[in-house]
This record gives sequence, structure tokens and C-alpha cells, in this order.
Amino acid sequence: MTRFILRRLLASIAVLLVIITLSLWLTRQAPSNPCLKEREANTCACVKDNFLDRPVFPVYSGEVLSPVQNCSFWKPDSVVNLGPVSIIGPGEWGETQYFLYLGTLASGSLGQSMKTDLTVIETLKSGLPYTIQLGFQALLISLLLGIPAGLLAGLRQNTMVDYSTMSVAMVGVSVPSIVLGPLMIMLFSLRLGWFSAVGWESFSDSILPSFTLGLYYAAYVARLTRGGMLEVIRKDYIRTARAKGLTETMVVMRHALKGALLPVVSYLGPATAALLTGSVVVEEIFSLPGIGTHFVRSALNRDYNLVLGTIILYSTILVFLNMIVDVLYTLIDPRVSYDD
Amino acid sequence: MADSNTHGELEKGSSLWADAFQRLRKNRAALISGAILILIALTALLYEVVSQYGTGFMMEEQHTWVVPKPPGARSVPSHFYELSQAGLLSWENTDSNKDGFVEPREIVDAYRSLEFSNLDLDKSGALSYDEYVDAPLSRVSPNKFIPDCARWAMIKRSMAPIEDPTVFACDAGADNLMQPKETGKLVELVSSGEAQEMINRVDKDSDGLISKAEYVGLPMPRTHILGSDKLGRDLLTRTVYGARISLAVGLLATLVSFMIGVTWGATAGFLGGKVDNIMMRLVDILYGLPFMFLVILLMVVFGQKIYLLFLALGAIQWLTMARIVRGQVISLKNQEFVEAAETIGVSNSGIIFKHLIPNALGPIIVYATLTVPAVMLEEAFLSFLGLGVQAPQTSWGALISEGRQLMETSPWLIIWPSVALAATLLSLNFLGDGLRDALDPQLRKD
Repeated sequence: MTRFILRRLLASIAVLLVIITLSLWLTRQAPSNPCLKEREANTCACVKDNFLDRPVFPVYSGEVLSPVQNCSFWKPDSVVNLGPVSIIGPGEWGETQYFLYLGTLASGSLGQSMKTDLTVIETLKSGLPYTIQLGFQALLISLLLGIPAGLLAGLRQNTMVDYSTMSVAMVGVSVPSIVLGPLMIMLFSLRLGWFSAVGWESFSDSILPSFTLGLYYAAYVARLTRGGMLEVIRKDYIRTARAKGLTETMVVMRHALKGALLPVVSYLGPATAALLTGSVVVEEIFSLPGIGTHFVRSALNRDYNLVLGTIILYSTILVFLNMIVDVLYTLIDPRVSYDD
Repeated sequence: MADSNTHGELEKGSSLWADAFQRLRKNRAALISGAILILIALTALLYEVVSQYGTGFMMEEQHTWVVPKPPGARSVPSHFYELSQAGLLSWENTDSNKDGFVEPREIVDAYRSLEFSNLDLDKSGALSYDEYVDAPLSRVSPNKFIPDCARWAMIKRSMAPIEDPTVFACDAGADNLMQPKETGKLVELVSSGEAQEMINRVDKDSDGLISKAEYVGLPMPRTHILGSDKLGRDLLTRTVYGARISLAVGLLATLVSFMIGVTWGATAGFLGGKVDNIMMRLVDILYGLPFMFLVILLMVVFGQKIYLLFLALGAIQWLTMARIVRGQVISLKNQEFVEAAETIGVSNSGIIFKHLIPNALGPIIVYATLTVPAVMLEEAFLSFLGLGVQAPQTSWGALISEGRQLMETSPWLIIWPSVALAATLLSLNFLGDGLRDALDPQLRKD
């Protein structure tokens, strides 16, 4: 068991390295440099005496940056004084920057945001609670709605209950959150006035976003649970349990449930990934100050340090959640061995 | 069986596909979904026809309106209209100076007088604003034929001022005179603004009415069946155009994922052993990654090009496909029916084409059908965030994103693209489920 976990841990770290390398390489291919793009007001961070800014973002030698307002330490002629790293061209970012970035990561920093005065970690810290609460509530909704619905449909197979539940589930997996979210705002916020349409001040503001995000997965979980239930309910050991004279409730709760939920457990990993991805859209719909909003805004602003930081954070969460799900799976299903 | 044998006949076997089709035919939901999808796809494919003859508006055509118009409101199409009733004019009446030729001027006059009498509902001899705006469009229903030469002329002269309407004809003889057989190809072009503006411009005596002398052949107002957005662009036209982009991205990205997945899975399955192990372990690892974020980064870094969109979306969707194909290849290559085919002397190509491919294709097609809605969903997400298709192109996701900003005052802007997207996704899912049940009865969960 320990060896299994250790091996998964090593693999996870390798995956993270690949992700970091890939996204770092991608941002280096960008035709425009945030420091040379003067549309935005605050480019102060670009020339701050920050460990990350200079090495990661090449300032082309000879190119004069336009003056930055409110930046006392910035002088237009100081471009030559930026040190040897400043002459790294766009095509040759090379290992110097790569290892500098990895070194920064190892020191526990994600660098400075290129558009604000906050560090990347400070920015992410401000958004993380919202995103986590949203994801957690959505997951809870999907499990609490999806599993009972799926079990009910599976146990009452080919009845009206089954058909109606599965029809609702089919609609659930087909109505995307960009449709459901605005629809709920129109109905519950604008028409009925039960919730506020945008923003996140109190718990009640999190209800609509959580349902918008969670209902799709509730429908999916219901379909998975029904499928798992139908597969399990005909197995020999269920027949044995019934033959023993156990009540139907006991058969379902003690014997069938565990097997029926296996597909749901193995779906938890991808579901978490999808919930995080989906939360980007839901945060945008409801104007929530979560990480997803930061990510989209930073990507559009070419705040590459923040983009990289967000991707690294998301990947870390996902990779380790997947690892935990894998370990959980071996605990529930004894047929899966650790030594595989 | 015994019965047919006594007659010396073999019972006709049905192939896997015929069998599957039989089962699919019994699934009413899947059939209806299929029909809906074909309808949507056809509409999307025929966008040009729909915009020209159906809605009358073009995708980017703007009108001078600061507020969105609700469904049923009308605007004057600004691009062109046809001398649609040229066919209704009699040759004798049109050729007013009786020289045996119809000159462009004569056609314009004859056509206008016919059109005017159609518009002048109360026969007062002058058109009021209401008569112009509420003109029954069926009376001026377009001729279903615009030759390419006339279209070209329209495009070239699209800025022609209204006071000087000019007839462009497909003057096949290039003699500047129209032969009777050439008149059917006549197209008139008038640039326009909104109805009132139009009337103000031609109403020379400023009585608020257009007399017959003032009437110069106004472009006909057309109905915005689903309303228009704040730039006056027709929503139905844009939704149809959005269908084209959304479906194209869905299909092409699925094709990309299909190619990568089949190649990867088949290679792993055929080679087996260590290579298989490494290749599939890689797939396992890639499974949990937040690919959407990399796609977003890709779109930002390399610009929002549409081919990049479906390449990137396809490149993140192939993992399950690879697993399915690998499983199929491994289970099929050792199966008894393949051995049986070998023993009765079926050639290798026969085994591959008659036995392996048809058997492996079922699950692949089913999964591909279910990949299309997944990809369309991702495209809609990206476009919704403003990271997908870029103006002037549009997709359902982009339309929903635009509509969301005005949903309080103009709910139709978000409702109709949403209905289109949800209906398509629902149909694709139903069809995918139906195909799965039909092609793979063992997989069926009942």
C-alpha cells in the first residue's frame, strides 16, 4: 500500500512538471509581452525589482519601454541596467528562465502579478475560498440528488419512476450551465427576487451558482448510479442475500449499494476536474470573485505570472485529488490491487 | 428455420448493421432526435439560402436601433431586394413605347406601379407609414432565383443612393436592351435605412405620405422572427449562422479526436506488451489534467483562430476514444470468430474488413456521437468567456454571452440561442444513447 501511494505520488509530481513546462513554454510563445503592451495602466510590476519578472519575461534589448506612471524607480534608460537576462530574445527563452522559474516555485513563491501590486499567491488566496466552497457545494448537490435518483430509477427499472427520472437526467446533462445559470437568474433573481443576481456576500448568494454547477453532475451521477445498480442487482451474491431472507432494504443497503456506487467513485476524479473547469464559467455568469474569474481575466490581460500560478494551483489540486480517488478506489473495490 | 430448410432455402441472415438499424427504428426518442439534428444541420448548411430567402437579413447586417427589437418587429433589409414580380408583368404593359424592346427604365416603372398598388392597401393613391411598414410580405414574395451575375452587380453597386435607383440586368446580349427572356434575371438594388427614414427621404412634399410619383421602389421591411439585438442584427439569422460554427467545431474536433484516439488505441492494442503499457499509462495520467486551462492559454497566446479551436478541443478529447479502441482491438484479435474465419479460409483482408472493422466500429461510432455534444459544450463555454470564436463570426455560445448582458430587458436574445444549443445537445445525447443501445445490446443497461 505504501509503495502504491509512493509510486502514485512520484507520478503526480512528474505530471505537474510536465504541466508547468508546457504552460511556461506556451506563455513564452506569446507574441506580445505584458511589459511592452502599454494599454493597461499598471505595468509597474514589470520593472519591479522582483525576482521573477525580469528573468521570466524577456525585455528586448534596445527596445525602449514607454514610461510607466507612478513608478518611482523606473527610468526609461534603465533598460540596459536590467542585467544580462534582459537580452534574452523571444525565441530563446531556454533553460535559464526555466530553471529560474522552477527555483522560484521551489522557494514557495509564484511571483508577482504583472498587472496589480499583489503577488500571485495573494491573488489566488483571495479567490480560493469562493471556488472551493462553490465546488464543494456543487459536488454535494450532485451526490445528494444524483445517487438517490439513480438508485430509485435502477430499483424501479422500466417503470414510470425510472422513465421520468432518466428523462429529467437526460435534460440535465444536455442543458449547459451557460444556459441554466442565466435562466435561473431570470427566474429566481429578476422575476421572483429570491436571490441576488450577481456577487457573493452571504451564503444565500452561493445557492444559485452551486445548483447551476451541480445539476449537470447530479444528472450524470444519477445515470451512472442507475447503470451500476442494474449491473449489480442481477449478480449472484445479491440473489444469495435475498435467498438468505434478508429484507429488500438490507439487500440494497448492505450489498448492492457498494457495488452500484463503484462507477460513481471512479467518476469522482474526472468530476472534480470538470467541476473546477465548470466553475470558471459559473463564476463568470454570477460575477463571483473566485479563481476562475482571476484566471480568465489574467489570461485576457496577458498577466502570465498569474496565469501560470492559476494553472499550477489547479493542476496540483487535480493531480492530488485523482491520487486520493485512486487510493479510495482500491479501498472500496478489493479486486483492484495496489501492485498494478 | 426448419420450415425454410424444407423449402431448400437458407434463412437470410441479417448483418450487424441491419440488426442495429432495426433496433434503432424502434427507439422513437432517438429517431426524433435524429430528425431534429438533420433539420438543424441542413439549416446551418444552407445559411446563405436561409438568410437570403427566409429571414431576408444577413448575419452582420446592422440597423439603426439602440434597443433590441422583440420578436415580430420589422426592419428594412439594407442589402438588396429583388424585382421579384418581374415575372408577373406582362410584356405588352412593360414595353410602354412599343418598340419591341424593354428598356431598364420601363421595367422599373412597370414594376414600381405593380408594387405600389400592392402596398397601397386602402387604394388612396398614397402610401402611409403603416402601409409601408406593415406591407404583407407574401405579396412581394421573392423570386427564388438570383443569378450570379446579378448578385455581383448588386455587391458592386451596394452604395447606390436611393434617389437614383439603378437597374442591373443580366444583359446577356450586352446590347443594353432587355430581351424578354432576360427580364426574369432583373435585380434592383436600393440601399436603405429604417422605414421612417426611408419615407422622409422620398416624401418630397413632406405630407407624411408617399404618392405614386414619389414612390421609387422602397426596400420591403422584413420581420425579425426572433427579434434583433441592440445593433439591429436579426437574431434568427445569427442563430442559424451560429449553428454552422457550433456544429462545424463539434464535428471537426470530434474528427480530430477520432483520428488521434483510433491511431493511439489501435497502436497500443496491436503492439501490446511494454509499448501498450507505457502508452496506456500515459493516457491514465493525462486523464486528470485540467486541459481546458491549457486550451484557454492556447487561445490567448496564439489568437482565437477557429481551426486552432477545433484542433485544441479535439486534442483533449481523444483519451476515452483511445481506451475504447484499444480494448476493442485486443478483444477482437484473439476471438473465436476471427479464428473460425481463418479456418474456413477467409483472406486476411476479408477478416479485417468483414469481421474486425464492423465489430470495432460500433462502440467507436457511439462514442464519437457522444463526443460531439461534449465538444460543442466546451466550444460554447470558451465562446461564452469571450475566448472562442471571434466577431464577426459567431456561435451559440457567443450569442448566449451577448444575450446575457441584456437578459433583463430583452430576454429573447438569450432564450433562443439557448434553446437551439440545448435542443441540439439533447438530440445528440438521445441519438448517442439510442445508437449505443442499437449497436451494442449487451451494453444496454436494462
